[in-house]
Amino acid sequence: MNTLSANYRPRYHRWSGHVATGWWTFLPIATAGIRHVLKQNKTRLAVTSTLLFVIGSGGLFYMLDFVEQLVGTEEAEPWYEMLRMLLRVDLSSLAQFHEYREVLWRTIFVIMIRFELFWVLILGGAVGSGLIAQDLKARALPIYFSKPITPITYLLAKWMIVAAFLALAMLVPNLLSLLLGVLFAGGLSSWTQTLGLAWDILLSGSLTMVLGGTVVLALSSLTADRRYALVAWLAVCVLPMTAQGVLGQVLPPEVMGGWLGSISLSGDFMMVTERLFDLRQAWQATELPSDAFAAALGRGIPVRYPALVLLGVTVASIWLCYRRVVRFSRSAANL
Amino acid sequence: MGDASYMFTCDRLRKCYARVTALKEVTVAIERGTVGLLGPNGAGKSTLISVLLGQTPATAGRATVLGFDVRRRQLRIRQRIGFMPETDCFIPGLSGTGYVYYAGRLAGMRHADAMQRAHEVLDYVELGDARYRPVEEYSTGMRQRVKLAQALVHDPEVLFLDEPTNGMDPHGREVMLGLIADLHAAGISVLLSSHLLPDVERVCASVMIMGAGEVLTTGRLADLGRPHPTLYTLEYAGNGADLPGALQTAGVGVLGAPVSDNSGRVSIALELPAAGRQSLVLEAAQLAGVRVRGLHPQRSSLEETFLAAIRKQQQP
Repeated sequence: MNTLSANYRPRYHRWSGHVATGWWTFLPIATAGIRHVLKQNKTRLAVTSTLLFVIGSGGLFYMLDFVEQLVGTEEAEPWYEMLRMLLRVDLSSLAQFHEYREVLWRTIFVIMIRFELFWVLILGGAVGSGLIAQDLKARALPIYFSKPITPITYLLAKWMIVAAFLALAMLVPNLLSLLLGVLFAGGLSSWTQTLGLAWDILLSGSLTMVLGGTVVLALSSLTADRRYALVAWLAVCVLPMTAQGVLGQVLPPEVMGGWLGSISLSGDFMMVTERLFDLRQAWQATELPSDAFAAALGRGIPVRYPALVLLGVTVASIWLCYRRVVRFSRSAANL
Repeated sequence: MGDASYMFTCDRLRKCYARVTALKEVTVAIERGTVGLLGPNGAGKSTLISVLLGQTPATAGRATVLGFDVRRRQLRIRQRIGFMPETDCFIPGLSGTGYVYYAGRLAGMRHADAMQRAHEVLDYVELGDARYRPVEEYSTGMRQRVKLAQALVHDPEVLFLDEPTNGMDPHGREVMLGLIADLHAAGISVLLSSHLLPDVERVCASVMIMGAGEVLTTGRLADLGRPHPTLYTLEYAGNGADLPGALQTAGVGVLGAPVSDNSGRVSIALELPAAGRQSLVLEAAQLAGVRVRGLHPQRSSLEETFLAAIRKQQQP
């Protein structure tokens, strides 16, 4: 028996199944990547904690619904104060509260997005920083590029992994919040009033996925050590914001209204988001005096500079990723 | 579409990197089978493989693999080719099974097919229960075998193996060479890039020798060993006690003692004083009273062929 097992060697068997190619070959890479990331407890915790946004916004929607019923009574006063603190809007002079539901919700979503950006920073760094860097470190690219995978397919798959988690940080909580708000408000009118918001949420979420995903992938493709990519991602997100804050203190507002006021990616993103949500115009269309909602609005500078900066950064990131991956794919056999 | 009966063809294929020309007008047609790709460092072997896989675009010329143009049909080619890179290249965090399964999915296999096939090829390369361990924990031999498994998972028609026995112990090397020979028997063509000439001699039917970006020699191993001009083997029958003395008297060098086989045939290695002087041996044999059964020129080994090709290229 021992002799038999010692001499036994399995023979090679040919396989006659179907092997397919096509643009969808990015899916196995993306699903395997998402599964791999979700194995990490910290990432799972960060993803789960985005439910806090849903709970928080749900609470605010419930509060608005409650105040709507108290309008005109003395009991509403403390609630006005609380809303002034949370939304930076003075609602005490509003008589027809439900007519302002849409603009109030828009304000809530813009505030939420500001907080969610922090989660985008965390999840983007945790998930995206290693996506290409780890493949470079493990010299995995010859495996990818000896199979029917192109650099574009590879990049698309890697982007999908980080985009999925960025969606969980912003897009998904916001859509769930909207659903929750509609359920609290009840009635068909709240659906029709707030339907446009779903589109704005979708656009702002997609913008985060494209911008954050491409930037973090570009940084990940620059190094084989994910820690460097993570530090670079944090630096790109935090340092310009700090610099813009400092410059805003020392430079006159007209200077900050130009390019100098658009060096922070998160600041630019918020300005574009506010424009997407049409917050300024929506409040100006109300009967409220402008000082009642001025604090809720961002800087009143043209959105073209921030939009151009975001577009430029996204295009540059895509170009950089592509160049790096194509370069590695071409030297894959020599790695 | 080119001729699918060839493993690959190159027509004036050139590849330049900045100031370095890695491939110089390479023109070659290699038939299917087991082919050894030999050459010193910097000969252009890896660049050729990279171009054939469609990873690196050629600067000029044309190449086909299994009849498909490498510029236009690179994905189709990669579906039919398995590539085993020289260096360790693993997807972080995967077990042996996960790694081979993932390679199958990348090749375009369905989930169930990829999983079933992963187990089949891991059985074939004899990874046993180690398949469930992370690949990072594998020994060198196991890493080489799991790399072979990922190249085999989609059952390619051709395997490109880059130094498959690199860093392996003698037993591991034996196993790997056995697998390669078995794959050839199963109908898979193999391009074996290696520095180890004994490995190539052991499993390859033909070789392609490259040097400084050029193809120096191609052909079947059996035909490549050139007849030596002065080194011969004399086969004879009868009492050859006086033969060595007669040969030396005739000016023929005797290299070692006579060796006899079971049939009573005796052979002895000789060195002629000059090319074309075989008659000296025949005369000496007649004088010694032995019956000559054969006088064959010795053929040069692969190593000698390889070195001769490199030397010839280096000559001004």
